[in-house]
Amino acid sequence: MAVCVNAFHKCLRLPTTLLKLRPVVHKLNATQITRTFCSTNALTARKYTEQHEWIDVQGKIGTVGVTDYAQGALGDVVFAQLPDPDSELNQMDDCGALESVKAASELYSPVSGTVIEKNKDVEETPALINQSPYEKGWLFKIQLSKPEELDALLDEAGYENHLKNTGH
Amino acid sequence: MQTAQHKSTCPSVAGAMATLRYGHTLFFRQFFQGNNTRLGNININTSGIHSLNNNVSKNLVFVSNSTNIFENLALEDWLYKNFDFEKQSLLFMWSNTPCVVIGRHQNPWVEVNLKDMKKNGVLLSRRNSGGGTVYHDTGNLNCSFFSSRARYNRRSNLEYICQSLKSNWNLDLTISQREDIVLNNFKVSGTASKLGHKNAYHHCTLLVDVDSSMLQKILHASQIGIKCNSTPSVRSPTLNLRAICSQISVDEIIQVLGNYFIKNSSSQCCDLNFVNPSEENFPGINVLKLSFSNWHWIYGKTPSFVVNWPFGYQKPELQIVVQYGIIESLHILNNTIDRKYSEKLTELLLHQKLDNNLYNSIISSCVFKNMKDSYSNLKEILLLLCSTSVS
Repeated sequence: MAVCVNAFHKCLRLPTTLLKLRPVVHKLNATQITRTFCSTNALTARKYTEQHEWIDVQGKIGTVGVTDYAQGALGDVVFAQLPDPDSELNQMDDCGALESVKAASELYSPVSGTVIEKNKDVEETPALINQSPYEKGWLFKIQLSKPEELDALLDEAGYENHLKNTGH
Repeated sequence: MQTAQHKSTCPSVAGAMATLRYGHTLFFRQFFQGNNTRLGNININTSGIHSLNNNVSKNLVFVSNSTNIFENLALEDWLYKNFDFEKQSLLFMWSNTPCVVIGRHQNPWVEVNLKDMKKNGVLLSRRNSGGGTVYHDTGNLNCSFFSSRARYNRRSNLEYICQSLKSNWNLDLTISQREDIVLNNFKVSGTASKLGHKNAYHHCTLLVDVDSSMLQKILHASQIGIKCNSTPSVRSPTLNLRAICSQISVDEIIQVLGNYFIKNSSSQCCDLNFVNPSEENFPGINVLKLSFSNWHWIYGKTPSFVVNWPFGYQKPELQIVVQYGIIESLHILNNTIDRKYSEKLTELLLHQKLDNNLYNSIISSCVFKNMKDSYSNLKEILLLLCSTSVS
């Protein structure tokens, strides 16, 4: 749980759910903070890959994007190549690319499934990935064919740990 | 296990797939073990990552014997996909006969003069990395630096080039903010890269003695009213290193950069390896060659775009929407085009691939014959869109 608290203070751009809580949390003592984060994690259920993608699952549909750390490391994204609807993807398939500062970074699917929608706003305005990586900058929606794959993905605390352990 | 002939006495990479450039003997050693392929003692992977037997980090140098852009792009891609760069780095150097290489997310109709390219026998290709359009000929040297994603460092590669060239030819090279190498405020090298899960590469051009008049001519596209969100090129004035240093040549730079790269390695038993991008040496490379020289990759991969006709007018009369290099829809605006013509135009163009077949259909079509003179310009633009030759 301590990791969560650290992550909270380290995070430059937090998901709205957490941002809303921010002023409240400052007034709370340590025990209360712990409780707040437990409930927040349960609400968002966002999962992460070590390659800095996130997936937020509602029912059988997952929304995929890249993390705040990833957008910062990429720099200004100038082009987003996203997977087309109906594409069948296996977990960790190379399914597109984000271009920034003359570098094309491959995009991987965190889960297996069928793409049902891509974010056309991001294709039109790739800067949304930098401005709002967890909301307006989502990349594609996928219908999960193997929901059990989610179990092996990192939760928020695990992802923050991964960032720390890899020196970020 | 199948063992190919191996004539090298050196147990290192020098024996892997070396031929003398322009030359002679093929030193070649290859082991196939299930899905794993092993070239010399360089470990590569075709199904997973296989680490080296020891912990020594190595710097390897490959130089391509081919001057064909598609073969060299295929070899670069093959190395990226198959090598294990966890404990070794690779510098791959290659040159091409006249060609243009556009970035992965670029629009060739915006970047280059397709008609002039065809006329001058200059090939068009699309690479996998980001960035802008470059012109290559044998006076240009390409350097691809491969490493693990974790050790990827563009600036240090560029510094390495600057240092080694400075030490040999006393050239005052600097690195710009855009990570181009600059000499006397002129660009002599452009950079791009590709980053994957495990592996990454950074490649750059080095203008040594390039035909600059051809470069100017080819990289000057006609404005035909294309609206798109593809990656634009940033145009910069360029300079050949030869213009400042008359003794310098591509072959000498290969030796200098290669030896400098090997010298910086903790294991220095390696030599420059001159390699042929053949199926025998790199199993699976022929499929990659085909995909790089294919219309679908070069033109069809272009991000969707719209052609507004006539160009430069606030209210276009015709909008042509192109997706995957195919005319997806036609919008006749303002009812300025007579209905009988608009129907014929739609019939001629809709869902057609922008290629030689459509070019011939437009040439032989009678639609434009009876249209107003001002529409002859539309025909020209359509023909330009279809000037998409592939080798």
